[in-house]
Amino acid sequence: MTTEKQTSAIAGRPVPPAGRRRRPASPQRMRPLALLIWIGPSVLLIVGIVVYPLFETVRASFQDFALTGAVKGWAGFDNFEKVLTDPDLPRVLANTGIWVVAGVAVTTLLALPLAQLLNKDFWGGRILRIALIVPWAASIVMTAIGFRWILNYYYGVLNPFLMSLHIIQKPVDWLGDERTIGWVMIATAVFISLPFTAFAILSGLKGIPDDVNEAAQIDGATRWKTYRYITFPLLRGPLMVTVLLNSIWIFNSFPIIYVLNKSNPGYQNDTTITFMYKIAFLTDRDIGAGAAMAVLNVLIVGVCVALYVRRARLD
Amino acid sequence: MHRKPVRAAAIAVAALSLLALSACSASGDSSSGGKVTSIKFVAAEYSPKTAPYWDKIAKDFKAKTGITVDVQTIAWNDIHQQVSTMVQTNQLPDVLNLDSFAQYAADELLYPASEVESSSLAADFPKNLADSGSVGGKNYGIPFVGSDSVLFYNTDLFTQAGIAEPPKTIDELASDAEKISKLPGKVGFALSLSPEAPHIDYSTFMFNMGGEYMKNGKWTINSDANVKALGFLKQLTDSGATEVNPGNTGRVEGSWQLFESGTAGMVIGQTGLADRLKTSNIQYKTAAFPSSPGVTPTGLAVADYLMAFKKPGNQDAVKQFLSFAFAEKNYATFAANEGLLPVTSSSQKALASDPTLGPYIPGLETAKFAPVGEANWDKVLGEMKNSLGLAVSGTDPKKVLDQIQAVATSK
Repeated sequence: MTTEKQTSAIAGRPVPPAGRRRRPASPQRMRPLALLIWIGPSVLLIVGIVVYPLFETVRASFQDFALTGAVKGWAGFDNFEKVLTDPDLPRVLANTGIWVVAGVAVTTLLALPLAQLLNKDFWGGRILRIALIVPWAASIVMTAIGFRWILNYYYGVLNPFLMSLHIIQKPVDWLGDERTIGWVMIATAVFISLPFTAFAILSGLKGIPDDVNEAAQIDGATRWKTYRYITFPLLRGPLMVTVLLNSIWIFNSFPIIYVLNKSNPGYQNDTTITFMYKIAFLTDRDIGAGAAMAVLNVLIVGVCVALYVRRARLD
Repeated sequence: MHRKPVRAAAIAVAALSLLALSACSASGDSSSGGKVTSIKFVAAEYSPKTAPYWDKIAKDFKAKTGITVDVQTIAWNDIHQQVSTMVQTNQLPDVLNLDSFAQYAADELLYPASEVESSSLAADFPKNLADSGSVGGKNYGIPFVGSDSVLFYNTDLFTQAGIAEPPKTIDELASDAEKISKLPGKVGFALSLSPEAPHIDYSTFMFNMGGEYMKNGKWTINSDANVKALGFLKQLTDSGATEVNPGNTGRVEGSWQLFESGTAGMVIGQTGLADRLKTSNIQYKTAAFPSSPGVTPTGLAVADYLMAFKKPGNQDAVKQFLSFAFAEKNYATFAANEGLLPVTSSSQKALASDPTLGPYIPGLETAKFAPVGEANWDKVLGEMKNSLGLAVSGTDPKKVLDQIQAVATSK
């Protein structure tokens, strides 16, 4: 084949002996250029949108920036030192841990029964399914701004509603009070990530053959026992994936915290993501320190994901 | 066996794309010697009227001088970040309209004002405004529009609370605010200390209680007078004379809204608030801000500036553009459009009898500026934004100001 000869010539390899030509081309046997044409676009894409920005971020984390954004020179590990010795960092790390664990746990616990409900056929089930998609489909910033107004101390609708039900006696400053803001933000994250999780589990439920459950029932298992020992173990796959994706998503979720917490001073409610934004663009206006925090964020999430994938044997 | 060349090729592709990307970012700046025939102007967007205004100015300017002005209007929320990206990638504007300039002057990116403003323009700025644009004794920021803070008070609520006159002293302000707060569902003084712009309310109180940001060229952010002023705001909050949590109340969506809805009796505002109140049915008046005994009442002056970036061959074009932007016919329209105060003596005179802006113009002459000409002002401001509000939600005011002072005096 002429093409094969050409590719070989380009790659500077001796033309293979005639006998080899007859063999079917397995992936291992593809010529370098042919391979490059196949993988080239994705390599370019990965380099362009993953490797290059990461390279720039890592580089910025070792540079010293003026307030204007101009590079003043190399900073060594100064930026990392500055971020790691920040007195607010422990609080921010603790917030991040609570934020991710609580967000993922509550989402999963609510999604399991919700998926069970969606798996049943009942009147209005389709409408419910469509309605559930809305929080997921809507822009996160929009949802967060909506919550901001609902929860407003003076004009929000939640306080009058709860007061009319006599659940609270006087208005609560949901977004300003240290005791409520954290839970309000977690509830918003759950609200947004619930649809995806429920639907992922639902698709897992649909994949469980009916005869398995039937067999369990014939063996005398109660409904709860069937769920606990048959259904739930079979949902392991979808659960592993949703927990992983939700953890990454909630960890990186900037808009919820930024929008709901933006009127609160200090770093008491920040996670590592909003903390990074603030030191880069709001408080310290230090792009180098912000980049250092960004690198730490990638490390945190990378290490956690690697450990999780190993333990869950997802690979 | 075939793996090695593949990997080598992949690396080559990666390297090439890196080169291509860096070439992209470098190719933007290709001006050579000689005079430029086009300049880039980056403007802050004050209102929906801003962009059409500058587009028209650019068109008129082109017709007059033949120089093209490439106008880029950017929303306030994004402009600091975007300009900082322009500096990083060396795609500097020629002229920039922003609220801070000192960091650019410190990095030696700007022309001194004297090199780009005509002598008649230079002579037209009142002293406090011209001085506010100086960095280390040399002017870089050319004031463009200004505002000064005054006390807005709701006359209906004052009557209901049995108060005849606006407060003259800080103590009267506190007692009046407490009286109004006793009315059901009302707030005496709407105070804004959230990260949006807490320095405006704080500075207004601080200046009128005898405090200063700097004395003899040294930062005095945690001086006794300043600690007392912030402590006073904490007290005001604790006594229930303000809204529930000033630490997370902003201005535009916060304290101003409380005043606009008739909930709050008093608030600190500028012409922007007056503009907003035109469409509400609130009965209100404005007064000079009250002060402590022995302190001359003053307002906080805030100005936005034009600044010119040093680029080869652009000096003359920039100079012409600045003269054109400040030409009375153009400039008065801008101030009136945006409800902001003009900063040249000539246009202040021209607008003195304007019903909306006129009453605020005399205040601007005596109002005090924050030290916006300090090279690290933006950093100090950032720290103030994130922490002033903590003082009314449990943190000791002295500790808050110590922290800001530490940021201001660190290298």
